[in-house]
Amino acid sequence: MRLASEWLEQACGELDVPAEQVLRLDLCLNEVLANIIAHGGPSAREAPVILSLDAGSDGGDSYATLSLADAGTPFNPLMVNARPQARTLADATPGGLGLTMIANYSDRLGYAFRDGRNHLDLTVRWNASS
Amino acid sequence: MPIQYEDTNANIRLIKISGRLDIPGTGEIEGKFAALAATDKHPVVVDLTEVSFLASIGIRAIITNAKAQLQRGGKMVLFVGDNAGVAKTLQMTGIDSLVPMFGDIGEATAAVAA
Repeated sequence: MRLASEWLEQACGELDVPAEQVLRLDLCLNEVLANIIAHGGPSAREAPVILSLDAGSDGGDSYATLSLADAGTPFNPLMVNARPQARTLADATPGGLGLTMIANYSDRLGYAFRDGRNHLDLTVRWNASS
Repeated sequence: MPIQYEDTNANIRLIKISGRLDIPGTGEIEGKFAALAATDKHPVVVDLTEVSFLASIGIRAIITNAKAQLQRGGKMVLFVGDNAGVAKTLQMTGIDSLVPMFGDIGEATAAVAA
């Protein structure tokens, strides 16, 4: 997990991604990897998760897209409804916040299952002049 | 140490956590956090001002210990100071509505002692 975060920080540094956006991607990366470990099944643990990063600009905004490919159980996070929020601490159930964090910290999510792998693209966008 | 505590003159247990609360970081502190937060002699303030990264596993630890305090009839609040990143995560996930969050230590201690 820490190795993945260290790789992300280095890759973002090479592509001049601002620190605030690196933190957003890092939070998403941690939540996705935690889900793969917890729910991906044996096939997820037998093959490495492939990470890649792309960054650029379009329409005056800058973006960075982190792509993950894992061999775990097919799982499309875009098809999952967020769990209703507890109204009181007594009613709260620990856990289940990972998808909420991924949805809120990313600006765009893309998912496909192909070649026996889950492919998830997480994009963050920012105004380069701000 | 990524977790330290102090029992103040006002009978409040101040638990200060620092560093990354990702899976390894939370794993490092969760046992001591649970033990410190299990006090039935002090209301608890958890200081997150030096937490640089708060993942859902860290939030799970906070909720678990806050619920345990509640079940003992105790109280726990969070102090984030000017840590905007942690405050944003707690607000985004709605945790601040379950476990009160403060930017000011005076307000945090007053709330937990009330």
